[in-house]
Amino acid sequence: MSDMMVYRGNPFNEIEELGDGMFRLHMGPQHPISGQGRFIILTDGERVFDIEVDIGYSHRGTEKLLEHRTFIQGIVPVERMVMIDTANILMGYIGAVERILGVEPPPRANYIRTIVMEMNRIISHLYALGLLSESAAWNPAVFLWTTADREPFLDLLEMLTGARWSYSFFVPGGVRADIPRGFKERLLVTLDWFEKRIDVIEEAWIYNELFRMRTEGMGVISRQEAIEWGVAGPNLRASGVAYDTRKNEPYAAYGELDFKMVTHTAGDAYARGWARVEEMRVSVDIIRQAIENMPDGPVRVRVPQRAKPGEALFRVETSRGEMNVYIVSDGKDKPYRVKISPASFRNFLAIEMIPKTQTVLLADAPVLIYSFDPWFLDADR
Amino acid sequence: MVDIVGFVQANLPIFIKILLFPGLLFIFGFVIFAVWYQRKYLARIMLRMGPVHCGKRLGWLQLVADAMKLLTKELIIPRAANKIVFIVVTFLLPVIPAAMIAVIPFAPGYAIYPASGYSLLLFFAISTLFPVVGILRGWAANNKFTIIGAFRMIYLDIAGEIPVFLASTGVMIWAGTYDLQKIVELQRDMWFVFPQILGFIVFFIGFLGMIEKIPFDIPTAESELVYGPNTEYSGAMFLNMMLSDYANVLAWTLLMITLYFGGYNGPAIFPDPIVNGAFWIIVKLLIAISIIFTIMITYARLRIDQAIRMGWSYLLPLSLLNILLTIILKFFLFGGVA
Amino acid sequence: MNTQEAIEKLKNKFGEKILEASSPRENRLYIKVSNDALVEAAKYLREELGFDMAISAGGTDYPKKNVIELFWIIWSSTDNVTLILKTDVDRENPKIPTLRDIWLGVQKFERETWELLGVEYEGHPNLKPLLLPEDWNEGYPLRKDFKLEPYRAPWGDEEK
Repeated sequence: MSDMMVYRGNPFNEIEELGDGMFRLHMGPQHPISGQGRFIILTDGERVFDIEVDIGYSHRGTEKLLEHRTFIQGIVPVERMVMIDTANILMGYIGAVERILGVEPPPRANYIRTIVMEMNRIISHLYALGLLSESAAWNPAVFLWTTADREPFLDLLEMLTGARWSYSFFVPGGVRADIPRGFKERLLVTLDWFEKRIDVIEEAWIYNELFRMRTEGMGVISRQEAIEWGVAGPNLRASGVAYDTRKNEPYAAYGELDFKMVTHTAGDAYARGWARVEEMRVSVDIIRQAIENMPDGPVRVRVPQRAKPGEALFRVETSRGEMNVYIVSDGKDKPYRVKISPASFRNFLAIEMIPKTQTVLLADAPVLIYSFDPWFLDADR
Repeated sequence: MVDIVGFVQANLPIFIKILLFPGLLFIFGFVIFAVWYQRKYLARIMLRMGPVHCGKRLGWLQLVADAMKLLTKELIIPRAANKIVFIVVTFLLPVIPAAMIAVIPFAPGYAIYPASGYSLLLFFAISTLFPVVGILRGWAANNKFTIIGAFRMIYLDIAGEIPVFLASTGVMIWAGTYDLQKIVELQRDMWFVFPQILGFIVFFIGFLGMIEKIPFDIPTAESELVYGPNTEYSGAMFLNMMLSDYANVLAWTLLMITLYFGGYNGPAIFPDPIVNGAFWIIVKLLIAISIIFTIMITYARLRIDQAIRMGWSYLLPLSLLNILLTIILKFFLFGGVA
Repeated sequence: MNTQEAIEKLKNKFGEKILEASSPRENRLYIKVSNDALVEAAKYLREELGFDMAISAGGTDYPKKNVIELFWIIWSSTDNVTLILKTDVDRENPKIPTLRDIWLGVQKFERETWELLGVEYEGHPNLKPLLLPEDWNEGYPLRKDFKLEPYRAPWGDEEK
């Protein structure tokens, strides 16, 4: 009986006093919202004074792996970085490899790439919206809706590439296959259906009063701060910075298509969520244009095995933001050094900086984190 | 030698009330049904099927399977926890909602403890114990998530219970009694939700806070606090927590029905008044929990500061205004407050 | 401002300290400065030439030359030009002042480079393990002499 009452301190469970009733709350890596990372939150119970993002739980050393693989063997490790956004991530690597090998993919391949990437962007944004809604406690309703809405696009991608995820469809010098028969018709039907679904999501979720109460004015990043901290992607555009790699440094077929860049000025969590919904509309528009204006011709050209010594930097707009791949070659069939700077890695800095500039409550922390759409495997590499 | 059989025979009606209806069996039955119904109902809104493997398409055996799983699981008690309080609370907590249900009339003259004359006050008196035991479980687990959850529970209960009590004061004034039995009888012609519409709005919002469901599930907020004060409970202790959670929903929903929706009143379908009363109260209960579940799935969770501000700045003045209006109406239309 | 103008300005200002400067394609600017002029060059690039947003930082190990080539990738929001600012540090004693005070966005990238390449960024406030385990003491993985053998799969498909 007596030994039951003895307090045996558990170092992981103890309430560690930091003065003024402050303590560190470890959200993750075992937590409903944490994913594969950890957020160390300095709090007094309700107010958050500091967030520290602890990543690296799934570090695979992708950059080192790539140094030991030929250019084409590097596709698979790169692609595994973000399973939900494989095409856009892979485009960064493939684009840099093509630049250093000195080849240009044929125009038709560029258009097919554009379609695949935009479908991936829709899938990824749907997932991001679902997670944002769940972080604001929408029971998983919106999450499951958006998950279900991804399915037609996954089916289309399976039809085109043979796999629902990680299709390794892009290769240096083009894509692996041409579009199959019946794909265009099915794609157009899906797009018509999906535009109606965006309206539903917008009505149920974006205009929902309680959701606005939770997100409006929360986690505001001004234009100046966004540039200072190097925020990426829709988060950057929600703060009013007109940067979209698809516009600023066009790759694939984006230079030949006419589409809108979504920008907001509010810079809060609500604007970041809304920017994603609007970007899905833009993606639908891009896919329509690409499938209609697709030129004929080959989809793949031969590429040399070895690269000339030199370096190349390729910037690509993934769903989470701009990623850049910097390749140094020493004239072999393998890259000498690959530096991948993913978008999530940059957005984590903003998550850490926001509690230093404004009041964040504990309940805001998950909404704040998921309004950036973080992806730990991306940041861990 | 105590004559147990004789004692039971002499007090058979009260034993039936305690053990069958509206006591133990009814509460267990409701909790099991509510969990199943919530799963299936929310699943349909989320565009999925809900449990389908155990018990065919309806999945009715799933809950039995879940309960068996929880009962056979290892009980994990954190090393740093205060073990006695940690365990005792799990037995104490389901008792409180059950005691609250004891004063609710289910048919004319049919309540476990009628408490004639002060049953509404007794209900509120018992309900104040819930957060006290609640904070004990948060404290006993000695965990950061549970302690934050327990404090949030206190904040929310204070902000929510006062408007709820003041809103039901409007009903008390309108009816001129504290007796739930008489309040129900007075609603034979007109439900109190119509004359007390302002009070009902206040009551309903406060009520959502009292049952701690979305948009007010702030103490157990999953996205930041895992499961609030219940985080450390496992196995059968978790089952007890779940039971007390849903029994709490049952108790407050029954109070809402009794105060505003005519309690057991309804067209006489069954000849027996007890069966008839029970039938109508269960029908109203099902409609009410459907509405609660729909609200759960269509709204986001409020932040604690927003919820407290709502309680103190909007609900409290509105409930006081409601009392004033009730007194004026009663005074001018019906000639004086009873 | 186009990239040629920027190169001119930099050469006028820093002269010999600019070791290499090129613009192989539109919107790209490769600058290599000697490491003693790094901070002044970075300040000049930030304040006078408008390169304001840091998007990456890292390093490349050259054991044969006995240097580690560090780079910072900066984008100019006014001119839409991407700059790769490079400098060499000694491989045996890699120390360099941090550019975090100039571009806050490189903070995490510098921390990562410190961890994976062993470059000491002087003045960086938060140099502690990020991607690797806290008790890692097996060297710097991105250096070329890092031994992969213990981590290679037994059926390894990589060259010996």
